[in-house]
Amino acid sequence: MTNHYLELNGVSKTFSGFKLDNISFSLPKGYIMGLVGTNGAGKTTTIQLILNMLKMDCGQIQIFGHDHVKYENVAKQHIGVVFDHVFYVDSWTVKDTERAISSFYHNWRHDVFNEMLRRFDLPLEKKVGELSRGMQMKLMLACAMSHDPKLLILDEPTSGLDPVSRDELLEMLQEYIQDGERSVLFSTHITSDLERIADYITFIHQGQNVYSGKMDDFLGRFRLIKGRHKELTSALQERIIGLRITNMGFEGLIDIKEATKYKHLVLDAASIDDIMIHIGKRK
Amino acid sequence: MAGYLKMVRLDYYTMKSQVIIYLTLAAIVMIFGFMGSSFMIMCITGSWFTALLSSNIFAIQEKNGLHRLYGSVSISLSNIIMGRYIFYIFSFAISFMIISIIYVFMILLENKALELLDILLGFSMSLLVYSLIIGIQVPMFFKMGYTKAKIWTMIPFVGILALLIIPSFTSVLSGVVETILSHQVFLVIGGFFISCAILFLSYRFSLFAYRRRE
Repeated sequence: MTNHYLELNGVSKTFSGFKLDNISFSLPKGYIMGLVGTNGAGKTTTIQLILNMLKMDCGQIQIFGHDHVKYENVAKQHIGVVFDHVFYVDSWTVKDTERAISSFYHNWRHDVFNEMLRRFDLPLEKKVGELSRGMQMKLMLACAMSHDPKLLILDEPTSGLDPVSRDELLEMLQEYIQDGERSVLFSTHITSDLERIADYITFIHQGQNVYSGKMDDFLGRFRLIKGRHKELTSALQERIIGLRITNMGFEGLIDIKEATKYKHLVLDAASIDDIMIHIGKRK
Repeated sequence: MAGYLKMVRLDYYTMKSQVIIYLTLAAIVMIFGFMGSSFMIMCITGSWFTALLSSNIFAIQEKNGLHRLYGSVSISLSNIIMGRYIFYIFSFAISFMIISIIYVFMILLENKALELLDILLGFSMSLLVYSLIIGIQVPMFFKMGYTKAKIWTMIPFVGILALLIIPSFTSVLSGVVETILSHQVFLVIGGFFISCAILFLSYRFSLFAYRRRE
């Protein structure tokens, strides 16, 4: 099997009023990639294109080194999916959910599913509609992981989860990739989660691919620059991404190569949020 | 297990909570039976009722976002559609069995003779009615989803009812019915094959529609 579980090249999709344009990234085996962007940036569309739930206009998607359409059924045997909202019938019990879904997978492990239920404290007889948001998420995760998938695709799995559940989920994902044979694509706008666990990041803004690569390179590429009004020269102003001027002074993002020229100003490490906010302001 | 059978199984679980509603089918058919209706009328009423109930699967699918489930599991689009049609055929078969059992029970009670042709005619005509309803509704549901399609699926039936109000149409129709009833064997065979053709065409339309739905 290939070293890249997921590869997108020049993927585009046009809707009325929105275009996902030329998205490219690759997710290597054994790593977690965060797919970030503001609401409506195109994260869910990208995931739906990967899963062939939408047809792309152009580009190429390969999963496990094969075309995602030709090998869709084979590939999906090795993919676990979690969406932001539960996609099981609300009148199903947890037990029904397993019965309904397990037949789709050759490698379904009833013991693994039961173990996950025990771990998550999910009652077998409780109906999906009666479960809390966090419990529904855990059920989706139990289903997604019970057929030993090589690739987990998670679309906003932490939105609506309390901090304890989020922490549990992140720990589980770290455990999941430990053997080096599995990967996770994790779409979220709660970027603090990614700073903890992601090795790679793809940043989509308004349907455009802003960055895709290693997380450390992404964070190391920018600095948050702050200063007083009088220190904001026109040359600096041109170099700042997403300049914000307040009564106290100014703040913005600056490329690390440019930052060396402004050591007399305050230069802080930028978080993913900082980068997203300032790049968002630029566009 | 073949992909379409997995889909049938999934559809069964999707509709599991609705099983109790199907019991009303038995009650309705029994009322018709006690009123002295023919087996054919009982079957047609039952199949109409079953077809309308079966459309609930699209309502449940839409309410629970099941298109995301279909998109995440290992199943082809054609198997999703094929499975849905097989599920519908199973639903018809079960409703026909229930009606037949009630009918046989009533015949035994009333000490009447069981006519095979009546049974075959009931089967064929109710299958035709069922196929017509399903054949028109399902491609629309696959194309537009339940909420958007619900109004549109009513239009063909409103159209038929409107035609029935026109006296010249009903006189022509009664002539056709009389001719057909005098050739019951033809009706049994013709009804079955026309139903199969309707379901096949409907399946093709659904496949076409679902592939283009986004």
